[in-house]
Amino acid sequence: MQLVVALAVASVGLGCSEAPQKCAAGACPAGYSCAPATGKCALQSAGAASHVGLFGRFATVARKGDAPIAIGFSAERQSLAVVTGDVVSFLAGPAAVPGEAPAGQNCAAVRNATGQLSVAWVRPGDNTVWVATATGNQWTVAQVDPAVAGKAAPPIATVEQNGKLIVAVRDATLQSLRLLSPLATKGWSALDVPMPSGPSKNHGPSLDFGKSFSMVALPAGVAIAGYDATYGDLVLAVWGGEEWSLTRVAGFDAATGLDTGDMGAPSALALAPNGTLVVAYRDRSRDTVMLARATKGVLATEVVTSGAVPGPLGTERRDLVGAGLALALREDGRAAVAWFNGTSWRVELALQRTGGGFAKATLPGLLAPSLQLWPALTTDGDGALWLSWVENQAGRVPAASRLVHQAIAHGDWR
Amino acid sequence: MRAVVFCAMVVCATCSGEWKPLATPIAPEHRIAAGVRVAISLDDTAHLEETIGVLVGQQLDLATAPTQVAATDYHMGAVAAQLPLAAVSVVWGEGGTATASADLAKSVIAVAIGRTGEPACALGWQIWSGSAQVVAAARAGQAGSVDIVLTQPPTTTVTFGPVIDADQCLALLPAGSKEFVDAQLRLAVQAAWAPRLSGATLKVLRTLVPTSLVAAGTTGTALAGDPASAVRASLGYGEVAGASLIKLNSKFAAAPLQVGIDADRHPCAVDQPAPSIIVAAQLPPTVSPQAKAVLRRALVVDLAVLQHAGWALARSGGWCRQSASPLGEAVPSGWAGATVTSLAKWADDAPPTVRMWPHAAPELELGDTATGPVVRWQFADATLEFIGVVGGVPAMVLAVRGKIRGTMRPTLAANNELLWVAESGSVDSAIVTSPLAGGTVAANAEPLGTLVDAAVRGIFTPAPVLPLAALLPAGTVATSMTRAGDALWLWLDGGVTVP
Repeated sequence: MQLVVALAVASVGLGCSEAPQKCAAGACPAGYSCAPATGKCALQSAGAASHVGLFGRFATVARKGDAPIAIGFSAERQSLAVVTGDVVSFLAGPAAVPGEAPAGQNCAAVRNATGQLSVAWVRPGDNTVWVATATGNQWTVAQVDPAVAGKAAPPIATVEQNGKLIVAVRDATLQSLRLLSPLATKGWSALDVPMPSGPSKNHGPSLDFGKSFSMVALPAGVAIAGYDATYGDLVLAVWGGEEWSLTRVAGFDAATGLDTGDMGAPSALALAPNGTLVVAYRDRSRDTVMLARATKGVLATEVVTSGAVPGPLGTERRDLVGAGLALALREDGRAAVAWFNGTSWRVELALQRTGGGFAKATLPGLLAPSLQLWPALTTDGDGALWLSWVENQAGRVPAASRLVHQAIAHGDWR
Repeated sequence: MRAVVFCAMVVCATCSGEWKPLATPIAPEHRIAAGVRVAISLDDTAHLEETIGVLVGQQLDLATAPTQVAATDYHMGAVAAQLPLAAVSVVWGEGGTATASADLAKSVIAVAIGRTGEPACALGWQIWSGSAQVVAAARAGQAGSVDIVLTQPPTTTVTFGPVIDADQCLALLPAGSKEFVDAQLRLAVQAAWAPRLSGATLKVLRTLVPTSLVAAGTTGTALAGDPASAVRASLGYGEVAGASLIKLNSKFAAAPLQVGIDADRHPCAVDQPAPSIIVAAQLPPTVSPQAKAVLRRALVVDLAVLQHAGWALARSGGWCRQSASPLGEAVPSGWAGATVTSLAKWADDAPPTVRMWPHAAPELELGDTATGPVVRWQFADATLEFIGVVGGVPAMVLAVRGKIRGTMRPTLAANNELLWVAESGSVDSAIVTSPLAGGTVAANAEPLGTLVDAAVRGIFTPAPVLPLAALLPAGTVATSMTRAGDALWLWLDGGVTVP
């Protein structure tokens, strides 16, 4: 395995580059120094820094007291990479298996209670599902029985539920969601995720069905927030171990049956310590990011950000907020929502206040002018939050992208 | 997520609304007097006459009961005759009246007179001439409605007399019998003739100047589910109650309608004043379609209405549009790199979606092409954002700001739907920027032109629809569109039930 020094790790508060005094106080990520002229963190030696240019959506899993592990597609090596600090492992693609086709554009990862890391991905080309599990520094790679997995298509999600790995994929043939889990002896089992019948909106079947979903483990099952493109609705499907509970969370008014917009692509689902399911989702019709909490069957929604920004001549325009979404919860249930602003190409973050509402922060760019993509949020073992993203400099090629982790200090979250 | 519904006479693909009284009237400065006219070409009078003739029928059924000849013991037997009609004529009067006349052809009515128990005298009554005339008018009713009325009682003139008296028995009848028969037959003709002609004329006039065109008002939204995009519209015959609605010139009889359109300002819209309202005082000369018609007339929509609707649509945010789906085959694979070389490695090959942000008021004008009229629009300043897919997520890859132009062709479809088909788009003085490059980029002219053309067509796909059926009498068919002067002519036919 090739080792590559990977990334810049910023374990600073949100104010890193916002205020020169913080920058001057040394609050810059590793590999960066404070530029006195600008008060911003600047790369110490950009030319010398080698990196894995992760490009595309990536997964993160927490490490106690340290920056998360990132799993994603290395554009430079065209392979699925696991980036742990400055150590990189390749699980699939030509960097892992010479001659193999590029792989890793669609992956998911989970770390269980014992610290064992599992990575699942859909291999492009043959639509097969693969799973790799780490034991120490050794990886075991296995293909999920294609007779069970079907013709899989991205996206993919994975969780660990009572010691059992569960992988969720989209069946490209049936346009449905499917849960895969290993049997106790050998082989895999499949469980299709039903979708509730929806109000008729005179739309035909959509090939976008299920192209966005997220999953969390529950004490006795799993919950999936999925986009039902046929209706443009966000659906919450909860498997309690024996039966499904299905709810249309957004996109139509349950009382009137009226269409309320195109919502739920993408979404990010999380489980609060008190058992409440919390889902952040994009309202495409209004260019807003929303947050819904399902407490004992009662839904409460609120706007995280509207995407409204000033335009020319006193007008207001809408940024493409929420095209990429990440969600994490504090111990008290308050949410941190990060999203990709597809207009400004910046990652933005909003932290839920104690008294309600969200406080929004635009993250400082480490490279100037910055392009920030694909936010991911992770809660580490100590309860601290890490926000990760891929950053590039405007005018440079995608392969020049680098991975950035930033810890969200408690002091920034009031 | 989208519904294509009628909305306020406005080009609108994502709007919703229904006709109902407005909470407050539309302000006078947003009302366009004679913005729409119902025009009947005098060249089509022959069609009109033929239609009235068909409604009246080819023959008049005459029937009377047996009647005692006054002050005698003679009886005039029951009469049952069918009188053929000769011709129908219509003349438009200066006061907006339509005078319809119908003539009877020469014919003979069989009449029998006799006493009970005796042989009857068989007579033939020759109709030498017969004519009925009605004068009808369309007058303004209350609240913009229309009343179709007869302005005076119908008149009937008949000249006839006995011509067949095989038994020479007329002379044997009591004095006054001939006059009695004359009077009976005249009454019978009047009773049968005047209502037929009146009914047919009023029916035709109701079709030509229908109450269905009166729409007290509608409130809709230009953007689905966005209450900030409210648009209001009204339509009515804008004359003082009782006034004649039909105006006459040398070519047309026309009934003007007042169109009201206004909108709340959506945050995305530039706060611009409404365009000046200038409506042509007279309908320009035009030529009726060649095809034979039953009741041809035209809805003449003045450019001022289109301009005001365009302004209202812009003010309501209706031009802050996003394509409903990716631009598709119109955009070549690798569109980003083809347009701006340095973006080649960023965006996926998937075609982009596009959003438009106007920074000015729209300017509209009518144009002609070989295949019919078009509406050309432009924004002196607007931005098109091209949203590609980058690593699986949508992101704005490049933006084009400049003078954006487009051409829309009003196209008639089934069920009297008027589609506004976007035919082309272009940009002048374009400044192309990309966040990926950190600012302005140099764009390749030809691919940029292709991209903008596809974008303008894409944001109006599916084509906005104006369903006309609700505003027209049942059975009306929109047959064609032409342009004359600063007006669109929507030619209509039918809408009246003939026996």
